[in-house]
Amino acid sequence: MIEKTINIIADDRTCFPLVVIPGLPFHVGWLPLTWIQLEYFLSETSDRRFDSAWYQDVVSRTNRVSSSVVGSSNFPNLFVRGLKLQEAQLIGRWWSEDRFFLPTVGQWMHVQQEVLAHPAIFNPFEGQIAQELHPRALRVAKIIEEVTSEAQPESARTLGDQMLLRNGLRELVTSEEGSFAMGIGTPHRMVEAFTRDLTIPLDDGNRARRPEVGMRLFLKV
Amino acid sequence: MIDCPYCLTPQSFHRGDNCESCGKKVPRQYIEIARTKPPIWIVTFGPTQHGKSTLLGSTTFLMERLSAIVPRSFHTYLDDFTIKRVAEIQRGQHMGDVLGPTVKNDSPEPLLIALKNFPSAKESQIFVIFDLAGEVVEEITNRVMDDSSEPPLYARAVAKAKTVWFIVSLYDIQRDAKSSGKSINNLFWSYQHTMAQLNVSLKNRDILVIYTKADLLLQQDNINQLEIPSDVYKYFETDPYYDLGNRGAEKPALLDHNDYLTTLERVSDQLQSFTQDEVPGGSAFVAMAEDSETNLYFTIDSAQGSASGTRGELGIQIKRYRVVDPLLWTIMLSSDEDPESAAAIVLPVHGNGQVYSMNLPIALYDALRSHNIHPSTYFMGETKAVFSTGNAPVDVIPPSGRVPLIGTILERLPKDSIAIILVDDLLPIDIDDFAETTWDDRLLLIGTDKIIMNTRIRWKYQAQTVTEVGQSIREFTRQVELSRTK
Repeated sequence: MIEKTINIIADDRTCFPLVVIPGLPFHVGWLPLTWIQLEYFLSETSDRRFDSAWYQDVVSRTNRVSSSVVGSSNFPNLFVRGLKLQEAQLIGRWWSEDRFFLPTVGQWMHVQQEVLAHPAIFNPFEGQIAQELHPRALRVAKIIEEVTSEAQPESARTLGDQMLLRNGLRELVTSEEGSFAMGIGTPHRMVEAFTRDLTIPLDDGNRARRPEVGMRLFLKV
Repeated sequence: MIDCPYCLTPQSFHRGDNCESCGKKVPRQYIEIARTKPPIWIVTFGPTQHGKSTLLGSTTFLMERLSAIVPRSFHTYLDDFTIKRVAEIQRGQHMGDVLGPTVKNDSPEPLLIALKNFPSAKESQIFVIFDLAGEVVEEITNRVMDDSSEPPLYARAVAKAKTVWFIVSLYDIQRDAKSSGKSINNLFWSYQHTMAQLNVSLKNRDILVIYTKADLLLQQDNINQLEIPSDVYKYFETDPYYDLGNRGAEKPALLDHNDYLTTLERVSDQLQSFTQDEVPGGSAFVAMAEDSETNLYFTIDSAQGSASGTRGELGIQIKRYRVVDPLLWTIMLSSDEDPESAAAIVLPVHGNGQVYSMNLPIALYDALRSHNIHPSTYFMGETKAVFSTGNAPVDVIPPSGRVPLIGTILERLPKDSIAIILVDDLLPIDIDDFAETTWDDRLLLIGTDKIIMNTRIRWKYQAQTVTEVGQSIREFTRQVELSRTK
């Protein structure tokens, strides 16, 4: 495996970890978008669409698990799934109007390839970064560390496994020309159970929610 | 202690209303409100002719009309000088005349204005406003460095204000940079030197940069002119209150305080990036502020709405774009001043309404006050306090549509804060996120329904009466004291 100097920083809106991969013109969420991050958005947005009825509609299809009771069997419920394309874009733009983007299939796969080729980072949330993350962000990050380290021997574990870019969710991406969106990735078995025909593009905001598809922050540098 | 608004000397005012230092009679209303809540000091700091007084004129004009956007809010002028000076300003506003530059004066008199029920019901503010002449700002450094005399009152006023208004016309600063080499960081140097000479740390002070005369940037008379970011421009031109108070203006929408503040923060971030990238001296200005741990905030407005052809006359109705923003920023920043606000009451936004029908918010507030705890009050699912420290949660109307969340409130409170969550028969969605965390000994859940027992939170009480709320607070505060002693 190729080892690069990977940095972890805190995103400035919710203080969840972002990964800085040398050579890439964007930072990538360490994990898929969590309920906690979405809830920061909901508490600050003035967009009336995202009210309690909307939240109930999304959460009722996938469930939200508290970080105080999560384990290896239900950890995908830490993450938001089932957002429609337009909603995902609006939520992402709350982080940054100019910097947020939904990755294309190619960009997502490139990131996956990079991080699966990189050995797992030892104790990624020790030191300064632990001070910079919000307590719940740190807790969630550490839980996922435990879950992924239990699932694989340390020698085989990669940065991609730590970031749940394998055995995580399907994630929202766009086609290369940006004309439609779809889910990509090899999900955890719990998410797999939801999987339907992925050839159906998620091409507008009106289609049904897809409870197997989550999203991840991609922020231009 | 209360600061005399005329000479800034702190005193108790227990012997009467006259200042023990300058002898002036201080308005009784000022003293009474200042006993429960510190006044908000505003100092305008900026170069000559950058629009300081015009902005202030529009701000007072707006204050007189705030009831149109915040029901039941009203203002009071607290002394004769304020009444006369504001009348003068108002005449200018009504006639469409632009005010001339402020006359230089070593001991400027402040405007004393009380605002009641603003920005929300039962919140009151007292403003002590010093409008400093541009020449004063230009010579302030020399004056404070002159050891042969006491620093002038205006310099001490600058040091008194936690939030200072840097008033900068982008149109003029660009011209100044070319003609005199002066840029926005000259203002910061003056401020920094003044504070240093008066031995006041810049740490945690707030600078609110107000970009004035934004309308002039929209004229295409100079190809090198600064261009404000399109998002900010869109925000600027869609001010729902630009016509407030003008003849024939339509009735404006009511102010949604929390929503508005969220947008203010976004615009501030965008303007900070713009300042760093585009404004002459902006990059160094932001770096210097960060280095001295001063907080920077940005806003943009136009208190005229169109360029004046001849200096001193407009001859049209003045349009005021985003003039309310500096006021809202200053109130918001002042609510962070009191360290005792490290206690929060969080009120429900869903449920059967028992909490409100039994007046438990005010009962809880009074119980905390009796233990010398002065909480701010929040609604679940919002990040801004609806009642800041020192304001009791009375006549509470919970917002509709909010998601019942507490995490975004708790995680933004100062370290070691305590929080008391009031609930009916519906729990906050994220309540269990705080079980078995550092909040174990600092978080209290009080519910009118036994559903609270379903949470994993350590301290929870069922309370349905004022007496029971009082008991739960007694036990909880004892517990907090105990854990802090340990």
